[in-house]
Amino acid sequence: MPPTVKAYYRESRKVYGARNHVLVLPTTLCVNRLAELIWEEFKEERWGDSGENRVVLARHNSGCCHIGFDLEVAYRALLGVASHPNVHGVLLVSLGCGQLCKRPLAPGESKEQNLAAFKLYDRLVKRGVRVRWVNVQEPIRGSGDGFERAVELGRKFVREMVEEAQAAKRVEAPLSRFVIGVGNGASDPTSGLFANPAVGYVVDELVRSGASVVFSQTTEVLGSEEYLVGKVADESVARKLRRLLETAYALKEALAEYLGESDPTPGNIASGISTLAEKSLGSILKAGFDPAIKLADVLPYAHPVPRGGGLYFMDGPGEDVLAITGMVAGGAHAVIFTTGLGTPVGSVVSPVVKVTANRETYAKLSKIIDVYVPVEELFSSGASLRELALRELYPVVLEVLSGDRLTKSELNGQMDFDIRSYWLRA
Amino acid sequence: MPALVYKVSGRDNVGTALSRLEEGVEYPVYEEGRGFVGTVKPRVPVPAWHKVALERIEEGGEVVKFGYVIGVAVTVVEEGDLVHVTNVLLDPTHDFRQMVRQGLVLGTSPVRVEKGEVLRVGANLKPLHPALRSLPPRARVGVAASAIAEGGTVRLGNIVEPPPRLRRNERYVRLVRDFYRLLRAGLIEFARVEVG
Repeated sequence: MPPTVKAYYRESRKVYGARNHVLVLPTTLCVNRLAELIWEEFKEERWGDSGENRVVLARHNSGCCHIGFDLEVAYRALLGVASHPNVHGVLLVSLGCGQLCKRPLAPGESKEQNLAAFKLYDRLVKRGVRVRWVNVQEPIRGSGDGFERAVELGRKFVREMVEEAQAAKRVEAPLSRFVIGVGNGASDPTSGLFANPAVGYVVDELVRSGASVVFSQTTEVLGSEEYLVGKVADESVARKLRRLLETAYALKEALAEYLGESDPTPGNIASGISTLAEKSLGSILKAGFDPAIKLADVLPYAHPVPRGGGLYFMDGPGEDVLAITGMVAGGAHAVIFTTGLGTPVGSVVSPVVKVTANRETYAKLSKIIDVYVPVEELFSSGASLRELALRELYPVVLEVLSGDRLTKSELNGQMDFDIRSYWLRA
Repeated sequence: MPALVYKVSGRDNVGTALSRLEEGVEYPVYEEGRGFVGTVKPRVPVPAWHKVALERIEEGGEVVKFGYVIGVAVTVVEEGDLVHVTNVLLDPTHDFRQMVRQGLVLGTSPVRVEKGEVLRVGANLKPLHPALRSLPPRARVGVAASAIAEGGTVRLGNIVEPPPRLRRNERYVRLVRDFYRLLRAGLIEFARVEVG
């Protein structure tokens, strides 16, 4: 009997959501404040059995003056988060002259003549996403200032969507329709030795149960090629992986001068790490141990992660918020994130389950960390790390997906969202 | 954390000290999934989270943690020694970056080499890879599988028939093993052979 969770089914998109949020999404950074004004009216509202759903606001720094494929990346990330399974409906807040959602049609102008204007909106409609749109520069009917009218109209749209979202009920959903992201940050020696391997056992179990799992943070896998080679079974995957690692090495080399540090860093060496391979193995073991589970694909940043099972590797930076944003924009319903020193990181539409194996950190920062892996039990009760991980962490992931449990990141209102950029802005 | 040594995998020859270990005191070794498997007596004080050798590692031997090679010993490491940057290095034969970029470079050729010609150290092959440095002058390395341009690189991939002496060289064997493993996995391609 494959495991199931309770989730919101979205008929028009054939997806299951672990949350039923309404998202306020600025399409360009210039209207962050306007989007925030719209959101403020709803910031205390919660719905769902545990109050796990709310109106979320995705402030970010993208959407204008991008060069080259940065525009494509920003577009993909915004499209990904707006059509995320955890989102019931989205309000696009645009300025009118940003790169992604432009001015509305002039009288007499056909839609084909101004296709870019509608690209994001149109794609969302085509995907069956519940979407509304306010545009600051557009003349809005009625009296008063345009900015204030946009706030008013935006709030009206959000109110409609909140009422719809409140009426929805969870249904039984197979785990095979879910995507889980894994990551790590603010690490210490307990991360590499215990927390990441513990997550690795949970990942094996999730993949065997039919879920898709995605890991990222390319800079942190450099050095663990022996492990990656064992995870590759397919030539096209190998080709993509090779290209990704080549680029990452070249980038790292180019930046070496500015970083002014070797890798492992002096800090790593002081805490007992001797080589790059040792450092990155401690990080990558979160992708699992089962030799039968191979990489299903290597994906670009913020690319949709296929549902239906398998282990995926997504290009992304080591930085926590950017990496999580990439995986969440790719459709991760929840993210498991290990930490040694402690970090409050979360994500705008997906719960982030934070795990530590450092007892002191957990005692000191239990307001931001969800799960402690009780490693001292290894030596007192003879339980294996795998048993501890499946006992302490695995059920939490299922509870979080079902909405029976809120993560600390959600309780703290962490709506982190920041899109990776590769170039300077024009 | 308890005063013991944690061994992640059965293949590991180093363990991690979970707290500071004193010199000459016997500490239990815990292996993941198996429990307590023995003891180790550090020859020097070991700071918390640093590695201690669980067995003797010869010079050039692999240092294994997490069940994977994390480097090679640059000197003999005795059981109980602290294993760190002073005695372990990332093995140059595990320089994946170089493998990825170039195929495995063994050396360069100062003159044009025709297909089928024997490659000899110092004659038509200037060795670059550490595995070849121990070979005497004029030692036979292999036969060119196709023409190599003057100043061109000699790689695993454009030579055939490595000589028996090199086949017994541990480093070289490991190099070849890794090369073919990466090749099979599709992580490297046979380098394009320059035709002069």
